Formats: sequence, C-alpha cells, structure tokens
Amino acid sequence: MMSLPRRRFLRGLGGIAVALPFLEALAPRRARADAAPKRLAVFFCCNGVNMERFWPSTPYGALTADSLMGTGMEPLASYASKLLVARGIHLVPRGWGRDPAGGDDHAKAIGHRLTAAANQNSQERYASGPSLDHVVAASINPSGKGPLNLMVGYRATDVLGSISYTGAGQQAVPFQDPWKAFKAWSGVSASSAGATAADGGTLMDLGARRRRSVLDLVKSDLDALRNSSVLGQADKAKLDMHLTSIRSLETSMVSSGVAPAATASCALSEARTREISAIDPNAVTRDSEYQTIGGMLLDVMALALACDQNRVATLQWGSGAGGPIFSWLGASADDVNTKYNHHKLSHGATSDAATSPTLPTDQWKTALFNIDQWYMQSFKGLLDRLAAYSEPGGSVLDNTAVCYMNDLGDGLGHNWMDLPNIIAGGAAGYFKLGQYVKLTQGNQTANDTDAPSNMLLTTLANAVGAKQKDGSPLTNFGSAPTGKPGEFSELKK
Amino acid sequence: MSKNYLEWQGRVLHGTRAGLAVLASCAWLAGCSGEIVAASSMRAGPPPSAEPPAAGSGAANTPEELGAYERCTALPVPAVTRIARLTHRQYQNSLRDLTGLDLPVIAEFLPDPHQAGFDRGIDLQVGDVLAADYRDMAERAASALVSDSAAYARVLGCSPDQGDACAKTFIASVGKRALRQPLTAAEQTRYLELFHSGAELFDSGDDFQRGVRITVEALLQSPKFLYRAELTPGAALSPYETAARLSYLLVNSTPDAALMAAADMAQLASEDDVAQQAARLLSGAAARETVRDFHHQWLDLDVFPNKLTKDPQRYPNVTPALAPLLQQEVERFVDAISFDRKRGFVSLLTAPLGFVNKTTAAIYGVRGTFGDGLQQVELDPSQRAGLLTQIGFLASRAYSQGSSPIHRGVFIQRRMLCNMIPDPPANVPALPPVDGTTIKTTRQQVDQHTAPAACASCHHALINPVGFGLENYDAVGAYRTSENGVAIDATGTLAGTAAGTAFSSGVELSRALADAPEARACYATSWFRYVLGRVEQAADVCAISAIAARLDDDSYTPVALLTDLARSPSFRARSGESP
Repeated sequence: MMSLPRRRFLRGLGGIAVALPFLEALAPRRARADAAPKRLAVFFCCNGVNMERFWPSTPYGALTADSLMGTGMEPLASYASKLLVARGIHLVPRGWGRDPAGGDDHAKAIGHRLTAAANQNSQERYASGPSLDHVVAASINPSGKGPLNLMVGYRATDVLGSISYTGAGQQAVPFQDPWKAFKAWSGVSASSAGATAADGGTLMDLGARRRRSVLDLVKSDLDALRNSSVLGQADKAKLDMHLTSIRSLETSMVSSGVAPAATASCALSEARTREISAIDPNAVTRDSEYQTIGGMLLDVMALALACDQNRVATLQWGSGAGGPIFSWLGASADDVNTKYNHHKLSHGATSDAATSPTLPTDQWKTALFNIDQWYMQSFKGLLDRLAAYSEPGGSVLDNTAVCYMNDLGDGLGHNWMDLPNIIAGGAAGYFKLGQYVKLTQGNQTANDTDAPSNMLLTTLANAVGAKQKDGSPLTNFGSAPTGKPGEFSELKK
Repeated sequence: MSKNYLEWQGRVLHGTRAGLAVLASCAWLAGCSGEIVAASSMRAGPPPSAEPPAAGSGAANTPEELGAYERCTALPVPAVTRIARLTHRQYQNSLRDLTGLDLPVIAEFLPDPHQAGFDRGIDLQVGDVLAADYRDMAERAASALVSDSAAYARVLGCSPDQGDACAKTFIASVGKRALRQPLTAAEQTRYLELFHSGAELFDSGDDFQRGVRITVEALLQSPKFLYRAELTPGAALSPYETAARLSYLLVNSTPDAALMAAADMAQLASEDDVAQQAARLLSGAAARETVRDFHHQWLDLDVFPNKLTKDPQRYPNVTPALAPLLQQEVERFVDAISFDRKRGFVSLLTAPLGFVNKTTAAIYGVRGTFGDGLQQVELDPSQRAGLLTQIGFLASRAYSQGSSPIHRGVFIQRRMLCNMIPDPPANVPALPPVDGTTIKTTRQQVDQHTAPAACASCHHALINPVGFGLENYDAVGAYRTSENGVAIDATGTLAGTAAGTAFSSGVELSRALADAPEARACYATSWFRYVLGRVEQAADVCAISAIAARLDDDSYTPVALLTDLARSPSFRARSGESP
C-alpha cells in the first residue's frame, strides 16, 4: 500500500473500507468492562475573566442552576450539580502587589500555573519542574505515556506557548492541528503498517510484526546507550523517556489488529472525520478558525479520554498577553469585540502595551463577560461530550476530574489572586460536587494567601489516583518553596 | 589544548584587552541600575578561576604572559549533554542527504521548544508523540526509497542480483552514513538478520526491496541516528564525533563523504584539520542557509506578520501580507553583505544597501520603476544604514499610527547588546496621546510616560536613549524630519555600553553599535548559542571573546567567524562529565 497524502486519505477511497480500520484502531483498550479508569482533563484559558460578573451569585454552599444565571458561568447552569467552584486559590508564591520584580505577568504565570515550580530564570521563564498532566500521565497511563496536550489558536514559541512541561525547562509542545492530533493516537497512519497477510490467517498484522522486529532492535540499542558508563543522570533520564515512548508504541501496536470489535460510541462519525481531515494545516492557528478548531480539538480530546487512548489531556486556549479577536461575538463592526483581541480588552485598551483602560468601561467589561460566557459554552461542550459516553460508574464525565483554569484572575490588574477554578465531573466520587467553596480561612479571597495553587494540583493528582514512585499518594505537588503540603480537604467528599 | 589555538588567541586578542573587560558575553544590568555583571558568572557553571583544572579535564595550563584573560582557557570545557537529539531540520536534511528524497519532516512533526534563544538546542527529548512520528517517517521514507528506482539504485550502490553480497555492502555503507560511524561486526550481523526477515514482513516488492525497507526503517529509528552521541570517555572527541559536530553544527546535516573519509583516516584531530574541513563545508551553498537562518532568528523576523497591522487610512500599503517580502529583504541584504560583498558585522549595521519592490521603494523614497519582486538598490546613506534602518524592523517595532522608541530600544538592548532588561511591571498606565498640542512628539510622549522613578531606572538609563535614535522613522519605517510640525530630535546615547557614545540619528546610532565592543560581544555570543545550541558558560568566554575581537575588521565574514568558532575548544572538545 502506498502512502497517501493527507487530504486524499478519506476522500480518495471513501466508504466502509477506510472507516473500518478507524473503528478498530479506536476500540477501547481495556479488557474488563467493570473497571472504568479515572482521567484528568485540563481546560486552560488566559487573560483572566470579568471578576465582577464571573462568580456564582449565591453564597458559599450549595450550587444550583439559579446560582449561575446571569453570571459568566451561566452556560454551565445545567451542570450545576456536577460542578465544584473554588474561590481564593492563588499562584505560588506570588500575587498582585506581592511580587517586587517587574516582568510579564502572563509569562510568569503560564510557566507556573500547572507546575507550581519557580520560573527557571527571569529571561525565558520556563518552568523548573514538570507539570501536573505529565506527572499524572506517567503514573496513571498504563504504558506510562505522556498526556495529550492540545492548543487552540496562535502559539508563541516562548514560555507562553505551552502550559505543560516534561521536566525542568522542557516545555511540551501541544498539538494545534486536530487531524495531526487525531492521527497520532488513533492508529491512523499514512504509512503502510496496516497491510495484512494475503491469506488473512494471522491475527497480528504484518505491520505490527514488522514494527516489533524493528523496535526490538531500537530498544536494545537504546538500552546499550543508556548503559554507557560515560552518561550522567540527566542523559540517562532523557533515554529513559525515549524508552518509555517506545514501549508505549509497542503497547498500542499490540492492541492494533487484535482489538475487540469497536463500539459505535468510540469513533468519530465518518462525516466528522472527513471534516477534520480536510482542515488546512496552515490555517489552524488563525483567529478565523478559532471556533472551528476549538470544537474539533474538543472532539479529539473527548474521544481520546473516552476510548482510553489517553487518561490525561490538556487543552490550552490561546496565549496570555494575546488571544484571538472574538469578532464573532461583536454585535457590529464598531463593537470592541470586533476590533480588539482578548488581551487588549482585558486591559480595556486598544493596545497590548497600554495597560490601563482607554475604552469606555461598559464596553470592554461587557466584551469580557461575553468572552467568558463563550469559553464557558465551550467548557460545557467538553462536559457534554464526556457525559455522552456511558461506562461503569455513570459516564466518562463522572469518572474524570475536569478542571477549568486561567493564568490570571482579574486581567486588568494581572492579578494572581482568587484565580478562577471550576472542577467538574468528580473523578468517581472524589469531589464534593454541587458546591461553591471558599478555600481561604479569611473572607478576603482576593488578598488572603493561605490557599496556594499547588494544593489544587496535589488534590487533582490524587483525585485521579496518581502515585509517587513508592506507591503512596502525592503530598506536595511542585517545587516552589512557598507552596503548601496537603490537599484542599474542603473540595473532597 | 594545542599551541596553535593559543597562538590564534594571542593573535586575535592583540590590542583588545580593554574590550575584554566586559567579558564579551551577555551582561546583566541588575535592576537597570547600570551595574554591569558578566552573565557568564551568573549562570550555571563555575566562575572564571585561577585554580588549576583537574587532571584529565582536557584543559591545559596557559602561558603566564597571556595574562588574566587566559584564565578562562584553564577552565574545563563545560559538561553538556553527550546525547544531543537532532533538530527536525537536521533530521530532514539528513534524510535528504542519505536517500536523495525530500520529505516534509518539519511540516509533519510537532515543533520543538526553543533553547538558548534558537531552535537548535542540544537538549531536546523524544516523547511518545515524536517516537510515533519517527516511526511513521521512517516507514514512509523506506517505502518511498524502494519506489523511486533512481534513488534506490544510488543508495544501494550494488546490484541486488549479487544477493547477500549486495545486502552486506548496502548495510555497511548506508549504515555507516546513517549512524555516522562504521558498524561493528555485531551490528552488521544484526542488521543483516533484520534484512533477511523483511522478506516475510511485507506484501509488496521483491525480497531485496523488502530487506532494504526494513533495514532503513530500523536505521532511521536507531538512537545512533537520532542522537549525536559523544561517548568517547574524557574530553576528546573521536574523529567521527568531530565530523558530526562539524557537519551538524555548521551546515545542519549529516557528514558528507569527504568528512567521513577524513574521520576514517583520523584526520580530524588537530585544530588545523578541523578548520580545514570547516572551511570546506562552509564554501558551499549550505553556508548561505546557515547564515540566513541565524540572522532570521537573531533578528526575530518571525514576528513581522503579527506586528504589521497599521492604520489603513494612513498606511494602506503596509499590512501583514507585506511580511514575507520584508523578511526576504533582510535575508537578501544579509546574504549580499556576507557572501557577495564578503563583509562582516560592521557592514551589516552600516551598509546603505536596499532590496525593494514597488511598494517598499515608495516607503524608502527610492525613485525608479519597480515590480513585485525585490531589486537591489543603493539607499540614501544619510538616511539608511544596515539592519536597524530597514522598514521591516522599524515597522514591526511601532504602533499602528506612530513609532515606538520603547520597542525599538528594548530590542537593541536585548538582542544587539545582550543586556537583560526585565519586562515592565503590571498596570503601567497608558501612553498619553500625542495630541499635537500639549504633547506634540512621540519623544515627548515617551519622556513623560516614563518619568516616574520606577520607570526611569530602565527607560531613562537604557531604553529611551537608544530608541530615540530611530525617531526619524515613522510607524512604517518611512524617513521623516518632523512630527506635528516639530523637528525630529533623534539625539541619544548608546546607553548600556562603557563608552555611551552620543549620536543624533539612526545612521549614527548604527555606526556606534557597530563600533561598540558590547555589541560585537553580543553578536559573537548569539552566534555561539546558535551554533553550539546552548547558553555559554564561563569557559566558553574565550571562544566568544576571540571572535568578538575580530568583528571590527569588516572583512571578517560570517564564514570566517564560523571557521574560528570551529577552531575553539568549546567546539572541538567537551568536558569529561555528562549532566
């Protein structure tokens, strides 16, 4: 079989003959139907929110649909009983007014938000430790493979370009092209690996046998290299990651071709697959495609989690200090949402550099509110997708810890206090859902500093069953000296 | 260390001691207070020290008469990774050179994070996504190779009719090129076994083609192909390791036949051997690509598309769609200076050489008839001088309606002087409007805006005095002599340098930069980071200083610079340690 160009992959052949390998590839990997795995999904936004109108309108305690009506979170109203809204979480170690050094706050926060590790230096600001998704994936993915990292929109090639890290200074670059992301884990490949024996008599296809022969050789070479006496710990760790990756390739290879028959719920429709495959790879980062690509990446993310292709996934929406122009939210050509990008609006300004409002207050605050609601609608789209897959324990949503995060709270002040965090799904009963919870001891959620964000990361990691090397639960995620050990018990059942 | 290198050091250092006070490396201006600290003493790695190096560290004592500066040559070459993964471009070029096939590796693979400011870091990893991409690309390349009869015959170099004899020849020759060293007997045996197994593992092609396919699939996933491994114990590199450094670091691909032949004969041990091969590699077209790519990244040309949104009423012809042309202009300029004119750093910053089309000729004020493509012209030397007066740079560091001395000043301080300036704090008030009455000029606007003490420590000390030098260029880089009826004041000083040279125009600013030891040090440092793929450490300062000291000579081309870099211990040796 010849390699096929991407665009023609489906179109040129069409029909069930092509659809079938998809279905096989997407078959659930787990053998036992009674053990639904726990998963972690991070939905990450930037530039803060309109803090005045974002939060539930009712006091701390039970969260109902009414609590959310008229707020930035209104699109989530139908999920109120499956949400946990947490107040008072702030970055470790800093918050507005507590950081004497200047610097791009978006850059400082992005490298820190999911790692709870200090920036490596004051210039590039890459994080000095691994992020939650990579730590958790190494623990809960059966093969130890890395998480599925996705991103919508323009990606800067600096610290703003990813929230995820495999280790100190090692930023994990996310997929931006939904077709590329889909191909990477779905087993769809433009290569010839799908060829089968002419007599059809073998269970394992030729491609899998060939790959095994090749990878056996590769693995022994990697082992030999790793055992070289001249290599230090960091170099050995690099090769360990490579070896883990090869083993995870082998795991997916063994499943391929001998997987049980697929269920209909575990595949994209042929029409949707065709749409995603037809996307122009050069256009995926454009503002004009932000909605379309966002929806496709949500499909890919939900499918990967539901079909147990990966138990950890992140989706980053744009970069701090940038973000798209939400022109589709603008009522007219004069609407500020039609003219200015998210970051400018977060500062009420017409320039990314000017950081105090120059636009009419009601206009930019309304624009931000509309953007918040749009993101919440998208967040609901993720919950809808996960809720649509039934499995033991309810739905995939019920077995997943889904968390909305943002690099800032109040975007105008670049505030790292009282960050918006919404947990949904519950991770199979770990979280106390249907609640609006304050995590600081005092009432000043915007000023109190006793609820550092690393505790949320510790809580999320344990919620989905991540373990330390010795098999015990995590106790203090991250390496920032001002982080605090322990979980937020207020969030737990 | 060879006597030769020290002589070379002594030669290039002649008369430049003063400049070395700034240590030719990036300087950190602590809190913009003007206190200059050598960055190399702040970063990882030991500070320069007079203590003798540990035995076997690969460094030698230096003659006393060379003085304090030479202490750094007594430091061991820093411990950096012994397994540098190929960048995607290096992988793509290697695949092309090995098979003769152009496959879109860079387009297919997820991009890598930048390290040390460039996309050529040596500390890249292989995660599961890339492992799968490597596998898929290896399968695709192997399939394409046996389907292309010309490429197939060329790569084989023997007739399949010879059976195993040809299989062995193929494995030995392609294996050696792919893995950049001769295969061991054990490897030869294992690959031959794999070759034979191929017959049962494909359903198309003849048995020999199947053997070739599976062998190529394995070679392209071998760690010896994917990593530039340096496993020779101690500080010295083996001839094959040196060959790989030369080829990948200078021209971004796998060693060619001549380089492998030199390695076979162990002719890459001496400094002169290495310099000779470097000069040979850099005599071809690949050197132009290296010089282009470095300047493209150093000057951050990739930001152009995102920074060219202008007021359509005032500047209807400048839009993001102009970005590719403006990038090409810079690249053509660099190429012409470096290769056609065989000039160096001074000309890059001072030559009034332009490449314009009908749109940009109007902005430059060049008369004549021009088409859509770029055409070489001489620009008015009283208005234009090299890189900093090109409209791509000027327009991408400007607002939609006005210039931005702050963005321009910050770029020059960070990129061209390697001064670290912290980002501004949050909640800076908006720039007051240039209303034509109370504030008539951008200069007044910026002065007023940055007057508070908290701003002034960076802005008045470093950013504004430099950025004001380009006030003769408006939001799209067109030359102007007045703003709102007020004559342009483009006076300033080269703040952040020891001399602090005064100037009164962009042309003079460019000249002052070309003459500044700090700017030369920064250019040399940037090249070092690009080529070596890492941030410099204390012991690397020797290599950087030696190059910086030659940049005042305008006949010192980037090719000569690269050849000198290849001579340095930082390039030719390594620490005995591995991180």
